[in-house]
Amino acid sequence: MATDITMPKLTDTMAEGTIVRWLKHVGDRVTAGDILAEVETDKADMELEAAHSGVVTAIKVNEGDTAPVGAVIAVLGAENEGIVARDGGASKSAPPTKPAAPVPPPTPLARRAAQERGVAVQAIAGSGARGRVVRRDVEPMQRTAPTVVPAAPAGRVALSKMRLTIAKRMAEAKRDVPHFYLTSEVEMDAAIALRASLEKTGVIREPVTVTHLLIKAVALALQRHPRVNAAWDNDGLRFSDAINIGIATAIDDGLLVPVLKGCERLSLEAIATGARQLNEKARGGRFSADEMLGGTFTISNLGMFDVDEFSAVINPPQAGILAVGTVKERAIARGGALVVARTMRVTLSCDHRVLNGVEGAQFLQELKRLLENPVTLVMSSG
Amino acid sequence: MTLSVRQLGRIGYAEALALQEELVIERMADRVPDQLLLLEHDPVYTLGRGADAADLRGAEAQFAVPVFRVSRGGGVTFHGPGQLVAYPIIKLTGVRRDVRWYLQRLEDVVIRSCAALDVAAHRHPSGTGVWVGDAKIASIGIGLRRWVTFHGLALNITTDLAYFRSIVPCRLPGLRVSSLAELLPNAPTLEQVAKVVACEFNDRFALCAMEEVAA
Repeated sequence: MATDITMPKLTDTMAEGTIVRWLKHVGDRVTAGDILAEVETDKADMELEAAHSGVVTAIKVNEGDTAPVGAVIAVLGAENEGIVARDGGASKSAPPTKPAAPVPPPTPLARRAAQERGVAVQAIAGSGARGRVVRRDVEPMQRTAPTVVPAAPAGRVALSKMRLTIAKRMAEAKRDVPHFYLTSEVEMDAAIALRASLEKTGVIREPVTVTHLLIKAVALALQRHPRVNAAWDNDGLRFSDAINIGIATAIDDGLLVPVLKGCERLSLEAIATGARQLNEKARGGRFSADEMLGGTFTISNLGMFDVDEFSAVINPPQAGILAVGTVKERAIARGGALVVARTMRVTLSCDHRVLNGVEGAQFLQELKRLLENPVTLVMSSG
Repeated sequence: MTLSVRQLGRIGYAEALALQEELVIERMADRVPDQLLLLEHDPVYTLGRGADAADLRGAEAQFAVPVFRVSRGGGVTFHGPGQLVAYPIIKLTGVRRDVRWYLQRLEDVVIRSCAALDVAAHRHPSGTGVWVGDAKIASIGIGLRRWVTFHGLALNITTDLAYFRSIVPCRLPGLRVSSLAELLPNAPTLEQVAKVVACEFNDRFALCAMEEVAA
């Protein structure tokens, strides 16, 4: 079984790379981990390692030539492939072997889900890329053992680099930024109905979630209230035309805030696609640093953990962060009677140096209006 | 961030290269933390893997200086006394698995170090590295093995620039190379610059971790 060796991507903006040297040639035997070639981009020279063992059966790009990222640059065959193939008796003379392509480790979410269910993650067949076990493979599994409450680690535990950074940054923000908080309750029945009808009619090909509707509504509200999208800048304000919304995403032992850029130009469908891709990348830990910089506003959603409402710490120099609680049925008074409606509580943390109470409140009012009349969210192209 | 900074003083190129190779293997296996090697070389010309040997223009014979072709990106360059060389042996993980991100952080380290020494340095459209005006003051070229970095940056302090004038440095014909001594009335010592670079390096890489995570 032949395996293609492709041009690796060394940087986010890299379109092609140059093969500066082949260390293995056609006919050479290769063991996984051997260096096949050196690839150059810009001022970096990367040694390309073989992921599998085999024999080099073809080299497609010569030394000094360039090839686009992902292009096949060489082919690795099984040890005896050449001979067997010539006989044409592969299936008789040797049992068909699976390619030695290593299955990537399960995603962190899948691992957590498996742990919660007491299922051995290694025993699950993966449906992700190259057989990777993803959360949806684990979720249908039955709990096989009672949940064991993990013992709390004893003594002093050093923080991971990421948690330490979060600790420092949050302490700084809470100390230096004068926060105030505004909470509002939003009726979500219309938005949920809209989401369902979008799914049924297929008007939007990308699955739209309540979070996507929320991002879109926040983007529109920010456009109408640009001060909330501004940044504190040394006793002044920096206004931004671009609306770049960071979406706080919990990962194993930490937190990442991938930024969805240019939301002012994105339709609901484009937001749904962009948010899904960022989420997948965040969970896989494969991000360019660029994708986490340049945010002008942040959304933090703990609704999936049954939190009714909370207040988030601002991510400086941004002027605000929106903390989103769970959507659930609540008794509300309407026209003198008690009715049951699905509502969501959102809390806007504001930097008082940038915003005063009324400015924050007007933004929140606009957001509530958009979510309760969500047709605007689909109609607006940007 | 655990970063072990090692001041190696004046060290031959071959010896430093062997040390890097060894540390890369140790770092890959997580037997050592991230390292920053700070040192100064005896005169040597080095060629990146894809460099054109013609760019040496016979300088190696003229100055009787050894030549090494090594696994880093970039063209021909010179190392010698009076030049601070920094070799970070760092494992790039997660979001840092981006060559350009890393190269730009190295540029930032030099730019901020220069700023701390009262020299206004900057990036330049002609490529990776750090310039003051139209003259290049620091060269950058790295290698990666399983996303562990080696090679790094070279910042001229009191380097004899004649070694550069005889070659085509960094594949840029006509490039003028400068040094801190050329720009400052009282050039700092290599030890002083090493201290600044180590601080900025630590700071810059810790700071970037901060930029990556937030909220």
